[in-house]
Amino acid sequence: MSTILEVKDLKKYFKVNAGTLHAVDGVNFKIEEGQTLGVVGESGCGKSTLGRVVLHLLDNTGGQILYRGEDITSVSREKLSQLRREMQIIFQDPFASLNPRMTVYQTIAEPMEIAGGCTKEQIQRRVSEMMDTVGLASRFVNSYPHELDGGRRQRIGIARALVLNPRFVVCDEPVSALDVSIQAQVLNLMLDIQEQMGLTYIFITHDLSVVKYISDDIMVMYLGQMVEKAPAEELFRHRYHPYTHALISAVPIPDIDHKRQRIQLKGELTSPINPRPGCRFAARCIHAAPECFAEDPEIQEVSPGHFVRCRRVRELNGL
Amino acid sequence: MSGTTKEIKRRSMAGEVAVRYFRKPLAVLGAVILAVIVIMCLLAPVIAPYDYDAQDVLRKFTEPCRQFPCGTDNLGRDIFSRLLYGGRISLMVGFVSATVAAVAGVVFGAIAAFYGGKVDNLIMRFLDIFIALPQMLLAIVISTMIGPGIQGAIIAVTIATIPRYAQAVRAPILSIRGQEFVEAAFAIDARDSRIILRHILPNVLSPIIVQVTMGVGNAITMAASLSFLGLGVQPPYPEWGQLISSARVYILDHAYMVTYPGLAIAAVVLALNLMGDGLRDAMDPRWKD
Amino acid sequence: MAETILETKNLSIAYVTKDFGTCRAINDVSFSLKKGHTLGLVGETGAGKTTIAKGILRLLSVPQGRVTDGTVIFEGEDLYRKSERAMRSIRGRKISMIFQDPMTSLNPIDTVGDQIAEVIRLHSSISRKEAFRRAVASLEMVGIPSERAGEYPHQFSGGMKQRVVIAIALACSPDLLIADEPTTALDVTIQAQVLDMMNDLKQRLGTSMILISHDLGVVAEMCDEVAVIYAGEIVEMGSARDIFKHMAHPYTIGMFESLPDLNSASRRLKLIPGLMPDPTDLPKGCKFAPRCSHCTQACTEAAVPLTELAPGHFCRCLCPQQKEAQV
Repeated sequence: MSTILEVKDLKKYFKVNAGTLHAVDGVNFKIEEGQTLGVVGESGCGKSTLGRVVLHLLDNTGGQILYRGEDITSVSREKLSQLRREMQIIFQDPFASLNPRMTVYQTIAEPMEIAGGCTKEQIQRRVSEMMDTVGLASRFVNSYPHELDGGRRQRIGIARALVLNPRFVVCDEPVSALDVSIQAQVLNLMLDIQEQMGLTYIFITHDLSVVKYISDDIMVMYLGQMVEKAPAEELFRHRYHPYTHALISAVPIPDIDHKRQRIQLKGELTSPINPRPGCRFAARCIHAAPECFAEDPEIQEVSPGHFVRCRRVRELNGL
Repeated sequence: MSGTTKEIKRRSMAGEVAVRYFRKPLAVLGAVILAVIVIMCLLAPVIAPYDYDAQDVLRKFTEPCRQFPCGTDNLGRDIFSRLLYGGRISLMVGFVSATVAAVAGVVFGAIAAFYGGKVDNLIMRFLDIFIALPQMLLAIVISTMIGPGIQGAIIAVTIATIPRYAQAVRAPILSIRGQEFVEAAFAIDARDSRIILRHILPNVLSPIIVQVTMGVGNAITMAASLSFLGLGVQPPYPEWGQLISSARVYILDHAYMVTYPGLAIAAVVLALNLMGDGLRDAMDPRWKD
Repeated sequence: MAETILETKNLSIAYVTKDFGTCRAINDVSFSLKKGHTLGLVGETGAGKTTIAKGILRLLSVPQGRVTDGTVIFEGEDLYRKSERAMRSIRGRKISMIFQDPMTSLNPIDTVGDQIAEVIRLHSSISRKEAFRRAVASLEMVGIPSERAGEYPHQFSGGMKQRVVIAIALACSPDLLIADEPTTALDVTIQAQVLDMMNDLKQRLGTSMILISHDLGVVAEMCDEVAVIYAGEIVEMGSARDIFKHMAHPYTIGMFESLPDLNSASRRLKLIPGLMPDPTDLPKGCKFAPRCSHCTQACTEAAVPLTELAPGHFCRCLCPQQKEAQV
């Protein structure tokens, strides 16, 4: 297995009236081919921005992106066209991400039309194939998005992303807008397709149970930075970073005998604009010590493959 | 909305709009009035009892009667026939200017809204200069520069109305621009032109169509005003504004010479406004399901 | 034994539209809520949960929405026999409702203090000053410092806005609170804070609550009784323990099985195939039959009544599966 994507110190800043918004601030990770990296965090953590920067839907402000070993941090238009065939995205909102004036057929066929070099018959055959793969009945081929329910619309989005056989897909909250039973259908579909086509996923979500179900590795983000990264099981077993701990214990479990711990977070999210030095989580952390506010914490590898951005991680967890 | 697609009532989008449009009595009324007027004017050579410039001094200033439904003018010409022939000119000037101005306005507005930033600023501030002047004033100035005639009238009205179309179309385009499916189009490597033509414009069609419908009425009025002032269409062409202009001096004794052309303009503008309202309602809310 | 504060009897509501025909939103919904208890209404989008809530408060959009059968009894009185005027004095005062999206529930041009005070003044004849004082007290009760009473909604984050919405709902100490997906739009840590706060308030004020949610975790934390809604009907109802530990209806079981579980590592989710039926075109027999793996001929022939499997545990199924929850 080779590393298909590597990201080094990736940054994305936005200029706003009040100053500079650090949406993504120095993120590092590697993903092996065929694996799924789950990126989890709450609103404002930068996970969606990260997904878009990796795909060049947004320009990066700093850092490096390596695809299959090749530096794609800044690319020419031709190279970008090439990359777009291999690196795709599935969006969150199944309605907003489809052109309301295009039929199912037109939406799925469009990437092929843009890529060129296909006859009409080839396109028709491929669209049919894709609809089959994602479980869309062929009678919907000329339907418009507003005639279909959320689950079906999302399948169209998936078909569109996969029609040119990409290697790498960023999934931006693909099931968050769906009902629970439809969620299950779409998640299973995505796993099946991943196996079939050998895809690599970055799976962005705020839902911890979903991320655990679908990911091999999980990265927890807070205010633009990675605060913890570990293989999925390991992350849930040992939630070393105080934020990860608070996040996981805040999830309501559908079991009446489970007593959720009282939430251990002070106050609300601090601003990502012109952030001060020091740990960004310190203001809300119940374990914060004076040195936490003074300097940015380094990332420590507390066990193989398990990274935590916290000064006090070893002492708090007896490591 | 969950559940399977109901197969029975599947119509195309245009069909849906048509069904909703024809449920509204006022909208239907507008369409009927416009249709009647347009058909009558188109058939002018067939149904007009007289030629538009057939003079008969003996018949001058005849009150409206059976032979001359709208009376005759100072040169004995049948006003009804002149209305019919003149309608062809007025309607043509109105539709052509509105359409050309809309296309040009959409191009400007789309480029400005799509690229944003400096391009947007440049284009919109340039157009702002024109918007700051009253449309009519602008039309007059342009008409004076170009000279009189039907072509001059069309050009003047077109140029004077382009900026407002650009402005009107910019806001809907900006909001579509921010939608995820446009981002999706970038992600599948679509070129800018494709995104504008295939993704953005079809989705702002409704506001544009409504604008154009109302705009035709506006253009007709402007053309008529130009002719009234002696610019634009010149005699003997019986453009409606021209008819009012030449009848001005007779208004006290022979008011009918002014009334009928005025009514014709009013009827067309009213019909277009009703249609514009009807189209807006029929197209608007339910698409954002 | 606590007394019953709210009872719905055979409530059926339909929406009649020109374009889509008659949509039978809810059918034959009967449940009762004891004082001080929380009833959870669980189901997916389109199941009819919000319609039930609006039906209780008589907030259905007329003329399309109409009650075709049944009624609602609140504190012994038939709500559908009351005048609109009487209903207005009940809403906000005796029964309050919280809607789903805090971003759009607040008036952007009024300060939060004023919005709470407005509700107070609507239902009591006290002075403005006194009303504002009580409003500030409400804010503190939901954990918002009193200095912020003069701020506008846009100055608050999502979680804070939802607290304001809750403060408005509780300002007149209603006997019953109907909360429609109150925490769905919030981040999970904020949701936890808000749920903790709601539980605290419930204890302190003794408010009865109907909580509508599609999130079984939230329901497990907050509810004493649960009713599972599918295609406009109650398919299973009972105490929280009955539903979570002794679930019987195939839909309920399917719902639980299709949840990705934080505590176990399964490789594929068991899912319920198909979709909920179109409310304008409901099947003749059991509404879940087309998707049910245990469906028999009898299930598709006639409507299935609710049967009592155990005291207080009802199920609308001809062959209920007695499934014990995996611990």
